[in-house]
Amino acid sequence: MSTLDTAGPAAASIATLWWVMLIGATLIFLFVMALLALVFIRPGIGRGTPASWWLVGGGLAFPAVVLTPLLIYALWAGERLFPTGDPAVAQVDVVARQWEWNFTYRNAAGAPVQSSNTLHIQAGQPVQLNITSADVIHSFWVPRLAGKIDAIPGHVTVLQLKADAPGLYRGICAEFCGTAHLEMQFALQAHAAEDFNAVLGGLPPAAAPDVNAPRGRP
Amino acid sequence: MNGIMTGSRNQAFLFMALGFTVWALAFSVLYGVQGTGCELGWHRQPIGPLSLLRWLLILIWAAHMAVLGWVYWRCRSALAVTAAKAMPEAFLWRASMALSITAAAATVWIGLALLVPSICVV
Amino acid sequence: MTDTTAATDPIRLHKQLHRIWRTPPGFGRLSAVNHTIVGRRFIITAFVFFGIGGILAMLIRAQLATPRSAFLGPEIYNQVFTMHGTVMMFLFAIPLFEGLAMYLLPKMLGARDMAFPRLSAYGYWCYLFGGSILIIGLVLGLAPDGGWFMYTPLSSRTYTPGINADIWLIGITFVEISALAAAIEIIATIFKTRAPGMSLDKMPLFAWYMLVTAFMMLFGFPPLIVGSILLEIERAFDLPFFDPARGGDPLLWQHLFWLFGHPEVYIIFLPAAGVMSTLLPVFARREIIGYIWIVVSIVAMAFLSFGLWVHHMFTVGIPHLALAFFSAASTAVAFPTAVQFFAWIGTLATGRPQLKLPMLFLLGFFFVFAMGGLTGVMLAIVPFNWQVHDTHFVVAHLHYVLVGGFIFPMLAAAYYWLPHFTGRAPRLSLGITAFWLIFIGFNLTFLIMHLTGLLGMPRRIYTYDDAAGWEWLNLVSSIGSFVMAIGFALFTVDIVLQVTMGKRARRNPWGAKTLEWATAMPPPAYNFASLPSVTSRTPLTDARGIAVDLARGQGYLGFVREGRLETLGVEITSGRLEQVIRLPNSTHIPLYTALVTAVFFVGVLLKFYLVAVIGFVATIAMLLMWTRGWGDRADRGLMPVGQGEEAPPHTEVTGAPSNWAMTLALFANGTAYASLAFGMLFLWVVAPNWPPPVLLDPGLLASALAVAGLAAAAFAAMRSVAPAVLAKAPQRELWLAVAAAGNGAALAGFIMLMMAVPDPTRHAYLAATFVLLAYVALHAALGVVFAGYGIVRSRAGYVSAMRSLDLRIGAQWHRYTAGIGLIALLLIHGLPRVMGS
Repeated sequence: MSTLDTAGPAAASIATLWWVMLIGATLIFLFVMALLALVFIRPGIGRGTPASWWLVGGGLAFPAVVLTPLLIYALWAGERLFPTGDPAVAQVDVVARQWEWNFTYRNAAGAPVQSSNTLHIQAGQPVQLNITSADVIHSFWVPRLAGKIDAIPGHVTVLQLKADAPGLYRGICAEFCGTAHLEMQFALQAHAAEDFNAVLGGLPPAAAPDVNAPRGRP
Repeated sequence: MNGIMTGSRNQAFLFMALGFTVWALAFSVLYGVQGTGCELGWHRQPIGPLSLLRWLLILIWAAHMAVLGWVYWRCRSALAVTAAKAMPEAFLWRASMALSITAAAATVWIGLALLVPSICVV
Repeated sequence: MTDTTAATDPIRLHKQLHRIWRTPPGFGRLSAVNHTIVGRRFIITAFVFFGIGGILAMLIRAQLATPRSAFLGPEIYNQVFTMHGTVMMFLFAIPLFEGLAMYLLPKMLGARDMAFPRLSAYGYWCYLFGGSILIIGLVLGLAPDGGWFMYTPLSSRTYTPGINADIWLIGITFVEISALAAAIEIIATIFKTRAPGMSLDKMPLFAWYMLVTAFMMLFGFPPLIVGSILLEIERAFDLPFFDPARGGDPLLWQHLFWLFGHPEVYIIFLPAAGVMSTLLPVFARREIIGYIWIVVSIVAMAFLSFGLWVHHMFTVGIPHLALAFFSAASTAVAFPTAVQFFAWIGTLATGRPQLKLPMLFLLGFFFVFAMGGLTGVMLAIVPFNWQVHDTHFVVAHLHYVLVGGFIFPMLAAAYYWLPHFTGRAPRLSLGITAFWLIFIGFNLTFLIMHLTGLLGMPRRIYTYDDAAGWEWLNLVSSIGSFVMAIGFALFTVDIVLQVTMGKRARRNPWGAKTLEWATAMPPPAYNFASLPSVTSRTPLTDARGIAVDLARGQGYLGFVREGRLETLGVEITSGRLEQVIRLPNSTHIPLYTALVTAVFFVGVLLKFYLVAVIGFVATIAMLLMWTRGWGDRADRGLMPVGQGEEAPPHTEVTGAPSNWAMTLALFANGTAYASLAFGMLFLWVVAPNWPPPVLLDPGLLASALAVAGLAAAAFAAMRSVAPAVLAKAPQRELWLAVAAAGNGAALAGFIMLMMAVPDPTRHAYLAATFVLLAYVALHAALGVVFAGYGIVRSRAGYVSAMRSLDLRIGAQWHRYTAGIGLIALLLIHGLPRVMGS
């Protein structure tokens, strides 16, 4: 379940971001605390520094130097995590409801197939998830692979993720959704390329969609 | 009251809020137009190198920057007059001037977002 | 008895003032309107709610201490965490700083009371009654259980059929009356009731912080109030604002909630930062550096904080470019925060800091809040937010911000001002031990909780598997939380000991420079026997004997005029003497008004709508009663105020506090109206299942009637306050009658339009149209009341060419109603055309 034990490019990119920010934040924190300690250990140490030094230096220059590169880096990193809309990417429709997950595989050869509470994907291949909810708001989250995205009734949200290697990854509902919120867990099974089609072939055909894909931007 | 200080005595006080009101307006209009534009497909209409929606956002951004420039100029002139006479309003005009600069900086800062490539969800 | 010569005998002056300002004993205490008493009540009640919220927190940590714990089931646990958040935010943090501001502001500004003492008392009772509704719900096991954020559709009737969610919506809206009342009152007080000479640039920084905070409350609370009302209407009458199947949208709730919810964090932080900026220079033994920088930072922070709300919604699928706006704005807040942070450190560095007990708590603030600020920047970063949103990382972050940025400064404030409240100094201090227990316990609980979140533990789950890898982290957090709880218990014991057994404190024990320390300790009901004249930011340094001089009556108003309670009013910017403000004595009427308001809210809660209507009408009637017999029946002109100066009574100037109160109330009202209009447009652009199945065909006759009525009322109100008309009673009463008739016609027009709306339960468009029209209709109806009230006041002799305050307040209302009415008509006529084309 750890966001730091990553198994996909999206989660890995975010984990890198975290380590960079952790190091930066730690240095800033230690610097400020050291300054504060110094003020009490050696009283009057700053008597020679003009007020503007504190205000311009600490209040403006310091955050500007830290935040400008951080914001630009974050926007650049975030941009690469958005779905590409590439038609070649496999598509799965996800419908959340109290308290289960339904997955419909649109690109499966032949008629669409479906599964409940286990999402099958092909390892090493990106998959685009089109997510909505049939009742209240839920949130789709597989911590080791990517960030979360909400399942909102009346909207379709899109998440693109990829598992680097075959394996079983745990997923949960991350938005509080009622009494059995905790139980609303699912499994994400990433299969090797050679097994994947067989797995999909073994799934039951999808029922007619019970949630009309609504109009409107996510 | 002299020429620059026409209107109410509390004008300086109102100007303290004006700079960031322009910022807030820029922010809301940008967000609103972005959402509406995505809904109406303006991001799929190219005009030269950029889409109609992005041009529109840049234009809105620039217009608000211009208004902030005017606010700054207004505060600056009023500060000069009031400071020369050591009036208590001078403090507020100084603060208003600083706030207009701050608001302009904040507008530039959120303007960074306009560089983001993905303007609407696919 | 008029004695306008300065009494030189301080005892005699005290007795004269005490007789008219005091609150009667026994049950008479329920009639208290004095700011010292009401402020104290707010503070004590807030701490009681803090205890309740703390016990709920303990239940949470007890449940999560071990995996698969059977202590609380999910039903109870959901109520517990919902109430923990709700109590701490709405019933503890906000009322606590409101109480502190009420207690301190008049004393810091050199006034005898807040601008509207009865409004403070009414606000207190609303807070107490509204909070009690929530606590009673908790005791009965009917507490809200949908999270303190109440996301729809989970909180809609389909998924939460019981009364639980209604208890939240009704209780919180009731409490918010007190927040809006406090906001209006704080602004009017800071604007108008300062000591002469205290221009805005000489005002204590705490007043700047509270001024900006109050403005934020004025604009921040209305969206939540509107959201709550819409949700309650949806739950009770099935008008679908948030139901996507009928053109509603759950995201509308999120926007309205966070449009309030994020500024809320800064509304809580700024008063605490005001405490920092007040206490820190005292313990650094120098003036704060960068006064104007701090003022600019506060204003910048206030505005920026309204541009952050979507960072609570980074995972709802908004395009990256839009997220980037909010990400940028969220990081931008770091700048004004850093300016204040370094102004404080610079003040310490260039002063001679003393490590006294309140300073220790301030250092706790630096440590904890710095960390909360840094994780705040992390959360502003979009991709990182996607991972840790709704995990325990966020729980840790928000506690670092709120405990660091609010509780530590407030504990410092408690120790700093306690001698002022009680006149007592501590005998033995358990405070240092309490500090370390709270500080260590807090960091033990929440520092590692960041890691718990990163390891994938989401919020709001009542238990977890032993295989999750979170066991030891949760156990340590739970142990830490109990250490912290012991710390708070020790703090409480320490305070009680000091209040009951402390030794007599000397005056101004910390060597502070602000005016509140010039009163006696504990302060008398009237604060100052005479009011000071202020010439600098540090009035207590300029004249060391100022306290004695004021007690001797050597300042302004050092006498009692006709048994009236008086304080001075100034021009906003310059602080020049402008008016003599008359204040009310102790009265039970705020309590009675709050009781009938409670009848309204309980009526709505229990769905006894007839009772609710009676409660509403009774509340309006009670509010009108506030002014009965209040005012002057003759022009007074300039009155002596001592020091050889004169000023007119507040009823005879344009800038009276109550005139400002109406302006400010209309700002808040306008924000609510804008939220409603925004909601309608938002649904049109964003919500699924639009366009609606049927469009409104607004009748031309009804629309014309409404326009004519609104215009007539606004014009008549304007005429009624024109100088030539004001002077003649029959003329002004005639114009007021026209205003009443105009509002009546508008009311009829809007009711006709409402009746033309086909079944508002069918679609959100129809529902929103209906509510928009009802909103204006309500204002027109109140307009009739206002105009009629003007006539009554005029007939009773309270109005003249000079005394036009009542009519000017009414005129503001009529103009405003005309404005929102025209906007509503534009929307209901325009929208169908745009959608139909």
